[in-house]
Amino acid sequence: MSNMNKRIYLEVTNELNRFIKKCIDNNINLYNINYKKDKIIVLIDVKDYFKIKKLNYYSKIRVVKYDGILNIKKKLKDNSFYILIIILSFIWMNLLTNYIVDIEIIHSNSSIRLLLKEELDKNNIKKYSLAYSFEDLENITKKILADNKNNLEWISIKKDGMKYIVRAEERIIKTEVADDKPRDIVASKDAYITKVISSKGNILVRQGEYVKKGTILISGKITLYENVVGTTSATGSVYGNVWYESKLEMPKEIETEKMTGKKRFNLNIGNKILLKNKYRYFKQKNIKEIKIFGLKIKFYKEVEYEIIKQKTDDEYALNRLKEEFAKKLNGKGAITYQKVLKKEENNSTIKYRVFVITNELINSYSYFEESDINDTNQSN
Amino acid sequence: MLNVIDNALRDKNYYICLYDNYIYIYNYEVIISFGKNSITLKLSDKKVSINGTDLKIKKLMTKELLIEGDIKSVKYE
Repeated sequence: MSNMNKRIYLEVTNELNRFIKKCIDNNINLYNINYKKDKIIVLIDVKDYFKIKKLNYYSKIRVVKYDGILNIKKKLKDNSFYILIIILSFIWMNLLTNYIVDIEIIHSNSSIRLLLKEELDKNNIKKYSLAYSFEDLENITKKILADNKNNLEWISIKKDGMKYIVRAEERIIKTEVADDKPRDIVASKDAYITKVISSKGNILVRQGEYVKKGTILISGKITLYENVVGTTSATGSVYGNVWYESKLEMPKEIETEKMTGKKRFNLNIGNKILLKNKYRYFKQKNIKEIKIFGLKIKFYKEVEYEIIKQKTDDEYALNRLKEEFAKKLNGKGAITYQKVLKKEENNSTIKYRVFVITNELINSYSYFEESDINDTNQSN
Repeated sequence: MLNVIDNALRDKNYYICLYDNYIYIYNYEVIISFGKNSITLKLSDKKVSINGTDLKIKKLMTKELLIEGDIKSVKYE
């Protein structure tokens, strides 16, 4: 802003007429002159202040008030300490109300309480930290439920003052009493047996044997001299090598994200970013959000990564296949051998035909009735 | 637009407005003398002498002048 609009009030004492005369002679504007007993209060342009002081050295001149924006600036400057205290108090109040000092987990079962505590820790819900927003809490709740499908039926995390109250409902799975029913363990697919572990039943196969799908591996029928004398629920695990022929299509070039290790903290106030984008590619982590008078303030860490383009090779394709199988087998087996049988390159993709051998659990159950055994015995 | 309105309102070289306790002079050239009982100004082609008691300059700008006081007479010389 130029000095043109900035004006100040001066208090002038001594030689008042001479003061006005000097102002007349030097074309200094006096916008308002208030006559007091032995002094005058004049409104002048800020730009004329030093000129006036120089010309009227015989008068006592002091600034008494600032006009317009200058007045506001002066008041803000004079009261900056109090204003700062008030702003800090509000921020402090807001921080306090957004600060968590306790987490109360309500459940009668101590193991569920322990599980919840571990899950909350894992999801960064801790004492003496900033509170999460309602949406974040909802997401965390969903995540905990998804991770503990077998243990938790329902969970609620509510912020009550400066603490979280966590309530949960335990999931009680009613297992069918199928285990006691007589059954055989049969091969779920063609395989080469590598390991047989049995705790109940009659083992019919040995390590190194080839079996077809449906072959009884551990029988639930207890035999004596070829006669079935009793039944049991066959229990055990049979592992075997299973072979597959898999097809896989991959892009010729793949993009992977690699963390550079560079990071910095940033602040987002009402969707305005405090520090401008420094990194080309980055992810926001450890987001903490608070609201002050409806204004969203977000603290977060920007973690830089770079995109690396690389050509797809056989090793990458086979690793992807390994991952896919690991997902499919769900911890019940793994790939032991794989070989590319055919590779076909197109414009942008590569097609693979891969021979895969896995070592996996080949159990499946076949239940039977007591009456079936009587029929077998009669036929013998 | 504002210039047009301003020119229409102030189409003369100078003018003097007289109120009960005030006198407003627009487009004066120079203040020749001023005192508690008399203020003399130069307008474009005339001299104006304002006489009264307890005369005070209330507003002093390059073109405008506002004088407060008990005004007895305004004389062209």
